[in-house]
Amino acid sequence: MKKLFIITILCVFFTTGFTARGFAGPTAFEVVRKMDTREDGDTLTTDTLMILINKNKRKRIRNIKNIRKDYGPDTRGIIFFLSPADVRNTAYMSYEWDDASKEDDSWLYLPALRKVKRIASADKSGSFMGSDFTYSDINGIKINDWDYTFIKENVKERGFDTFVVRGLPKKELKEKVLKETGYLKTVMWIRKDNYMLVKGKYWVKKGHKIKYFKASDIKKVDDIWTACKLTMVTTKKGKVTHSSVLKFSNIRYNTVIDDATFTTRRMERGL
Amino acid sequence: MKLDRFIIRAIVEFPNAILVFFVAFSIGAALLLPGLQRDPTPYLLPPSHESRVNLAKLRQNYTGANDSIIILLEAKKTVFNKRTLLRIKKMTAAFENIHLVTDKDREELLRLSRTAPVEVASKMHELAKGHIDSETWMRIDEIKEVLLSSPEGNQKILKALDTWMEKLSPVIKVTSLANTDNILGANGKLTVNPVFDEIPQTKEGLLQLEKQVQSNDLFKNILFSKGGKSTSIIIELGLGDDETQNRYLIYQQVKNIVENLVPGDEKEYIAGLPVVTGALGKVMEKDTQRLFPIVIFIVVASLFITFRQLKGVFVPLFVVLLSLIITLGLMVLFKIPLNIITTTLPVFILSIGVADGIHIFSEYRDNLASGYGRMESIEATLKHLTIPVIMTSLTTAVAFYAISMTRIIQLKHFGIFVSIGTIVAMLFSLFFIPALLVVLPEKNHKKTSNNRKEGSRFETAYADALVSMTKIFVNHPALTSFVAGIIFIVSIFGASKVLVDNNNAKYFLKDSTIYISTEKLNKDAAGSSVINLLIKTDSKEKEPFKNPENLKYVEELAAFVKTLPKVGKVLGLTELIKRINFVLNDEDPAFNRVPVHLDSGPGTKNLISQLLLLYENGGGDALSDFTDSDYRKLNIPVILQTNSSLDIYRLSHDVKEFAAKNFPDHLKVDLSGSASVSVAATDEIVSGQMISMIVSLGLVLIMLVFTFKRLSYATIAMVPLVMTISINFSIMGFFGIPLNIGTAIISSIVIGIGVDYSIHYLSRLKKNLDMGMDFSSALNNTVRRSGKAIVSNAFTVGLGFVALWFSILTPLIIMGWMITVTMLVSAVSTLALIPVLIIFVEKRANMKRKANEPRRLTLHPQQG
Repeated sequence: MKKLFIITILCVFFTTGFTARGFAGPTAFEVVRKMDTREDGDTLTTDTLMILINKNKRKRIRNIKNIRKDYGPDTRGIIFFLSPADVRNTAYMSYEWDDASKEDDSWLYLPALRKVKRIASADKSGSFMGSDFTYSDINGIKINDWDYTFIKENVKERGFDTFVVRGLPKKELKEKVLKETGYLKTVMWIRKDNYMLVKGKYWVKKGHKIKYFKASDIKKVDDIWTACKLTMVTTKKGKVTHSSVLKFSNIRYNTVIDDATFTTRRMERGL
Repeated sequence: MKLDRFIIRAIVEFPNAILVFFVAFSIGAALLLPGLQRDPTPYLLPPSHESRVNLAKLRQNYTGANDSIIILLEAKKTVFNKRTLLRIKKMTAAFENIHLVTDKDREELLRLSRTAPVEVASKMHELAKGHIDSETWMRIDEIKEVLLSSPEGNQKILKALDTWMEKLSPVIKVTSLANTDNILGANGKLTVNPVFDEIPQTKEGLLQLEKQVQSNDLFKNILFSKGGKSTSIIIELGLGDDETQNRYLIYQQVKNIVENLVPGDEKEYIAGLPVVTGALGKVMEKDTQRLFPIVIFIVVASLFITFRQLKGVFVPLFVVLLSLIITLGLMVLFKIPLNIITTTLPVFILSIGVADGIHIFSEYRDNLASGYGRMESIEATLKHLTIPVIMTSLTTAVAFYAISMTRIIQLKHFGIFVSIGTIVAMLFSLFFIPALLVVLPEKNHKKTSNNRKEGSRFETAYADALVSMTKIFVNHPALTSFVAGIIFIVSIFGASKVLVDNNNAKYFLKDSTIYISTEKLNKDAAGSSVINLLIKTDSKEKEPFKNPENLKYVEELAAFVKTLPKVGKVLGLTELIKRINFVLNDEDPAFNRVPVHLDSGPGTKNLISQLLLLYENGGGDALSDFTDSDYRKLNIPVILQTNSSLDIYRLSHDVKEFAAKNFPDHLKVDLSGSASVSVAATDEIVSGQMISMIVSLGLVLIMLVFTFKRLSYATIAMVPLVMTISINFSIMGFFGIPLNIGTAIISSIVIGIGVDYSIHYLSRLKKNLDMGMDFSSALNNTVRRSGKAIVSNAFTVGLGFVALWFSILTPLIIMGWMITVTMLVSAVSTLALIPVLIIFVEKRANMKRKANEPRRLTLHPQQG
């Protein structure tokens, strides 16, 4: 009897919560959509400092120049390595298509060989340049593949009100999502004022790892909310196994970028 | 003698008190027994040993350096067919979900869920009752998160959840065709894709897949071997060194998955160090349970044959069992767990301890038979035997104690507790048996003497045989010495052929699954054990191992290692760079190498950095397996088609020699890995046991000098021991039995037990001579009394170790054989050599005496 009573109470609680949401604020999916479609400029150039820290706390540091330009729903990007000196001018270029059936194109330029190579890889759940970020972390996930629900609708995170949203892959798309992201589940802390993702927790299937994301040093650059520092910490059984920090500087949005920037010839020319 | 008088008085005056004391002590010890712990660690060396420290460092510095279970799948034609690939895919997923959660863990969680906060109670209940899958760990994290956000402690639940978390992820990584990326290069395009995503449905698709996999040198002998007929799946385990039990549990799960959950037509072979060590722990446990009744049976049988009387069986048996209980009780008291070697304690204590009991009991019966009353018989027995029993037990204890002079903790405990057991058995024999004989009714006296008559006819014949045998030796002292000398020289030659080798996989019987699987992997795949070549440089250069100059040396070493016997696979940074260089150049064979100088300056070093960046960028995650982040140290894992420490030692030697010859001064090679630890352990065992042998020989000599008060006698007593030891080693040399943890301790055992024969024999002979008997009657009496006892003892102890023949572990079987054989050799060499040597000594002494004062030749009647 007691059990039944609790279940009834829970049901009432749940349904009232549910209806209450119907009247008040946005749904979880709307919050995520707003986050996903947040203004991020048509073009972006930054200098990025990438710090990779292994479990023995040894650091590796790389300097990268990023250039990105939107072509409608598609995106083109190019990366030049500035340092360490032995990889200077190594360049990586990618064309990402909104059309999921189209495989992304990427090219790599190795200055020591003076050769551009085309690269084909379906694996987006792999590490981005040896960091804790995956390509899907950097390029964004396909939010339509996920179901989102609120865990809490008002949590203070570093002084700001946030929505805490849980994302689970849609049942029928689970395999696809796993292949693309490697994630079983995500929880995101999204700021209410500007819909920025400021904190995240990602459950990685392979190796039972949990990754913790943090965006900090958040300010408006060219009138666009920008996190100048991103951290991703990978843990296993509660212990840090590896972490990565991306620090952005010389951030500029919406400057005019020539289409010729995204060509193999530009890769060969270097910076 | 003061001591025997003291014992006699104690026994006559307080027999009941003595019995009560010993029994109470035994009951006390028996009560402690449930607290006996097991320490099944497969590591013979302590964690502080250099090789273990290096192994721990290796695992700290590089990924992928943990012990792995390897499954070899062998198809009829090729593994690249739809059914096999599907099976591999399913198996891979199943292996990733291997866990160590037990019913006990479930019950604990269920119990805790009843008092848990409402918001997690049902989730905990579900967890405890539910099926464990690839997301269970995530659900635990969810519950933990809720608990951590609430102010109340719930420490107990959190702890239980952490235990679950730990037990859910014993597998670090599974590597198989189903989850590995292949890097291919063709037509100016690099492709980094899983080996297969969807299983190809057409013949052409499968053929292409097979071609792609076989084109990758890095996969050879691992993901494909025997031209695609077989493939391996590697499960890297993240278990602590002492988790033998868990290794076994995982092995069982792997077996269950392979045989029952994901069955198929392919033949499966499961091997690897975790399998061997895990199963070894289990098998040893089983073996003890198996051997215990066998040794009891043998002891009972030999007691029955000797005494043909219930009392004769049960009194000595009872005594050794109580001695065993007390020894084990003492282990509990000192918090010493049973380990893989001390599990053989029962066999040793029963076989060795029963000897004293036999001596006491048979002397008592002999006395009874010759017409003494009960009390007189007991008194006479103790008078005769107290000192020999004490001396023989002490020498045995000392020899076993010498075994403990090693860093191998298992041997240390073994040596200490066998010697304690020997002393305890001695005390029982001296106090408990006589006290029991005082108290027990002595009935069926007639029947006994009838039996005796029958028995004594046999015994007389047996003694006569021994006497005539001795006569042959004594009558031809020169020939006997000559033959013995020849045997000794041949033995030394044989002993020089003894090889030091330990092979864990060969601990198992030849028809056991583990033996067969290990051999199969050693034959048809990369192998079953791993040694790591660690290369470091003290060059001041930044990231020195991106410099092709340095990599050239590493590549040469790798190429050299590939040519060595028993090497199945060489991995490492240079192999990876070769592959990247190769695919980047459209798989042109000319580029299947570490890039050489492009131009002067840093060009090539940059190219290597860029190739590695390309690899990382393509999602490659093996760099941390092979190099530290500063490129100052490299790890070259070498997979070996052997588990023999001798093979591994030879390889290490060759590698070091190559490096010394070819490497520049700033490059250094070290060897590490579990294979290296096994070499170090074998070295430690053998050098330790050689030292123990020398020390125990020395100690025994001192004790003999003390006993006989004459150096010549003490030296003579040592001769049969040295002879037996060299024959023991020569048997090993001629039959190719390697010196390892089992065979290395045999010498100390020979000394410990064999010296007893010398003592018994010589002390009686000396006593007889001192009493003034002439040499031949003194010898005659000695052979009839002590000679007979020695042969019986050799049979009893030798038979006791026959129990080891029934072991399911090869080294124990070999040890059983060797001990049985050496006990008999020891008895024979005592009977043959001591009288001959005494003749030489006595002749000289006689000559001296003759010069001074002629010896009185009094004929004493033989003592009956």
